[in-house]
Order: sequence, then C-alpha cells, then structure tokens
Amino acid sequence: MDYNQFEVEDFIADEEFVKWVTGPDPVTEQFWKEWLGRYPDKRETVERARNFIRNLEFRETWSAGERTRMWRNIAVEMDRGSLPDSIATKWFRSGLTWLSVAASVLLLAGIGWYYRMGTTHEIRTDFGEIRELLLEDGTQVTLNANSRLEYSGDFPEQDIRSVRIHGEAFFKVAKRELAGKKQPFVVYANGLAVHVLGTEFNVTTRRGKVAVTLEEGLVRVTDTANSENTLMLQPGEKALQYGSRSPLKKEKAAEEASWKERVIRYRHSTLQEIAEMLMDVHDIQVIIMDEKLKNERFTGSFPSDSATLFFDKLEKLYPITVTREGKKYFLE
Amino acid sequence: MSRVSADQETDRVVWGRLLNGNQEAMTYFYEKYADHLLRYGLSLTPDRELISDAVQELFITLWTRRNQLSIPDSVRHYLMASLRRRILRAIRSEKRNIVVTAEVPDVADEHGDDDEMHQYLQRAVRSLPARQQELVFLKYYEKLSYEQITALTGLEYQVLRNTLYRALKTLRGTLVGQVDLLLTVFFCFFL
Repeated sequence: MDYNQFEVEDFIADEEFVKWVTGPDPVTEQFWKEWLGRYPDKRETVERARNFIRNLEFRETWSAGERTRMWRNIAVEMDRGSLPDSIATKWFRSGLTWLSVAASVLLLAGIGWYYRMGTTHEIRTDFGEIRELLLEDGTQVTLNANSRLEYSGDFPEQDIRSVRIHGEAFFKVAKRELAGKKQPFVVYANGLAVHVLGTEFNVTTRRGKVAVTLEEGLVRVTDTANSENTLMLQPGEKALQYGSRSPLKKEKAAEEASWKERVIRYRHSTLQEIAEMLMDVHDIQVIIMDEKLKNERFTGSFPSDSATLFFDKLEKLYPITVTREGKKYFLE
Repeated sequence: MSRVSADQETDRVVWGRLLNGNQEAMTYFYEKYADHLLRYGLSLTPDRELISDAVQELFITLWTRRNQLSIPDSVRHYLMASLRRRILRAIRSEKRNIVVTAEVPDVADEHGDDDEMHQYLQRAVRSLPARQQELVFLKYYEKLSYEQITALTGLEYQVLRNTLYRALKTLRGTLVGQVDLLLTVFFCFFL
C-alpha cells in the first residue's frame, strides 16, 4: 500500500488504518510508528484522519416524551398479542390478582416462595421478610424484604452468569471457572449492569434510584443504555444513579449493609428518607403531616423487622405524635 | 463475524428470555437500543416520525413473532438490519423521503465546550446524502468492517469504498477552516 501518497480521506477510508485507530494491537502499533518515523511530514495528515475517526460520534436521543409514547404503544400491542403460553406473565403484571395469589401461596408455603417462568427463576420476598439464598453456582445472596431476584435456570452454565435484582440484595459471589476460563458475574439493576470482578457488594433499586455499595473486591458499574456511563468501585465506595440514564456518581459508603443483621441504621438522614426505608421493607404507609418535619435529620438505628418499635422510640425521644390507622402511620 | 463481546453474549441470554415470553427482556432491549436505532435511522432518513413508527413496528413484531425467531449472533446488528428494511420499505411505499430535512438537534447545551468537535462532526455528517451518512455511520461509529457492511446493506465492496470516499471528500470540504479545531483535540500521541 502506497501510504505516502495518501490524503486524509484515503487514510480514513483505509480499513487497516481504521483498525489501528479504533483497536490498535502491537503489530499495527509497530507498523504505524515506523511508518511515521519514515514520513514525518505525513504526521499532520495522519493526525487529522485519526481525529476524524476518534471524534465521530452521534448523540441524538429520543426525548423523554417520545420514548414513553413509543413504549406505551409497544406495550399495548404486547398485551394484546400475548400468546397463551405467557398467561403467567400477564398475571404477573396485573397487580391485584397477583397480590392475592401471592398471599395465599405465602400462607401455604410459609416464608418466601419460588416461581418458575419459562426458564427464568424468580425468588421473591414479602414485606418484612429477609431471605438467605444459595444459588447453584455457590453464590450467596441475602435478599431484603419486598425484593425480587431473577435468573435463568441454566445460568451456571452460561459464559456469563447474570441475574437481575428488584429491590435490595447483598451478594457474595462465588469465584468460578468454566472450561478453564473465569466466569464473570453480572447483576442487572434497573438500567445498570454491575460486573463483578471481586466478591461482596450490596445492590439497591428502589423508586428508580440505584445504589451499589462494595464491601470487598472490585466491581464495575455500567449503564446498559450508555456504556460510557460507567465507573469502577473500590471497597467502601458506593455508586449512585438517581434515575435511569442519569450520570453515575461515586460516594464514600456511609454504612455497611446493616439490614442483613435486621437493623436499619441511619446517619444524619431526613425523616422522609427513613420513612421511605421503612415503606420499602414493610407493608405500611408513613405519612408525615408537617413539611418541616420531613426534613428533620436523625441518627440512630432500629430493628428492621419491627416498624412499631421505631415509632415508639421516635415518640419517646422527640416531640412527635404517631397515630396509627390500619397500615397507615401519621406523624406530626 | 468478528469477536464476540461480553455485551453481545449478555444480549443473547436476554434474547433467549424474550423468546420465552419474558416482557422484561423487551424493556431491556428497548431501553438499550432505542436511541441507537434513532441514530442509525437518522442516517437513512431525516424523518423522525417515520423512524419512530419503524422502531415501534420493529419491537411489536419482535414480540408477536417471537416463537418463529432464533437467537442472532448480534442482537444489535439484527435490530439494525430489521430497522433498515422497515425504513427503506416505508420510504419506497410512501415516498416519504421528500420531507423537509429535519433539523439536526442541537446538543450544545447538554455537553461542555470540549465536545465542540463531536458536535461539529455530527452536524457535518448529518448534512450528507442518506447513503453516505449511513456508510459513515456504520464504518466509523458502529466500527463495522467492509465485509459486515456488505452483509447488512448488500452493497459491493467497490460501491462502499466509492461512496465513503465521496462522503469523506465532502466532509473534508466542510471541515476546511476547522483545521485548528481538528488539531487541538490531541497532540502528544506519537511521543
């Protein structure tokens, strides 16, 4: 190839050149280094071509409105076009029937239950229930209350072990090899993928917010909608995403996953935040009557399996009155 | 086909669930690829509404015909190829390609100044004729090999080369005067 006759566009159109720019390997690297040494006056041309290739990016996106509208149309057709074999999935979507079914299953089976959908396993916990699970690959999962873990039946045999979490779970991932190759473990949470490179971490997805806290090892957190929205966590660090597609943020993790020990620990948290934590794991509604009270900050801990204890404590320590009406707690 | 990435493998796993009737798998692909399909669509036609229709149709068909589908090597490329067929068919049947060229959305506010180059290039490419845009998109954004582009578009290697070459010539014309900008982006690579 007579590269020294090349102009910018010739380089850009050249497959070998593009390969070097987008994914250099030792051979191409060596070749172009030598070549540039021989033709130093071509550097500017080459740099321009490289710049073009590296900077060409398209960033158009659907507006939130377009996105939602399109999905709504698709979802309507999906429900209409559901085939008989997906009756289970439809059931699953209609909240009320589902709750009553779940309630009766719970009565029969005691705590927790197990559901098989096609080849997907689903493990759910009820309000107030924490479950310890041992997956077939040896990974230990502690599933917090009101949460759901999904994984395919043959996941230990896949090149990549992947599971999905709704709610909150603590993972202790078993290191595993398949045919002599390390078998990665990926946790999906909302639009995020957590690639596990080490071992112990906590994932929470509640109200569209996702938090990943690493206790031991190394994990990479990536937005599945935008692989550039990614970060690496060290132990004691926490990755946060406040809504799907928003940029990932890193924070020092304030506390370890204390819920595993059935304790909710809060440090300088607003009453509103504590109320949300309670509502995540208990089938109750907490209504804070006073706007100012919502933003009062508290530090302390209480057993996570009893909401009543928390309210008792709150009433004793602060000038707050708690009124209960069935599942509703009014604070003022 | 080229090397199989981990991402591609995950897609295939989720695709398997979709074929089993898992609705969440649909959400996964929609969330992951809706914007990407818009970008590819815009290199085929400036008609955003047509692209929107095609994307919806694509996902609906995916769901209703899931028991006839198999697992593709690359879900990403499968979706792109399917979108392409739909858009080209719509353009042919409705002659909808004679629309007022849609304005290239201005992304300036969302990103910092250092992104000037990206925006500039994006805008320059978006003003090329459709086929040239498509090839630039596939080659430099999607980073496909000529072989893969031929598989997707059915265009012969020589046609690809010539079309790309024309596109790059035009771009170079547009980019004259932007030399400073082109060069400031990076320097110290060959040290």
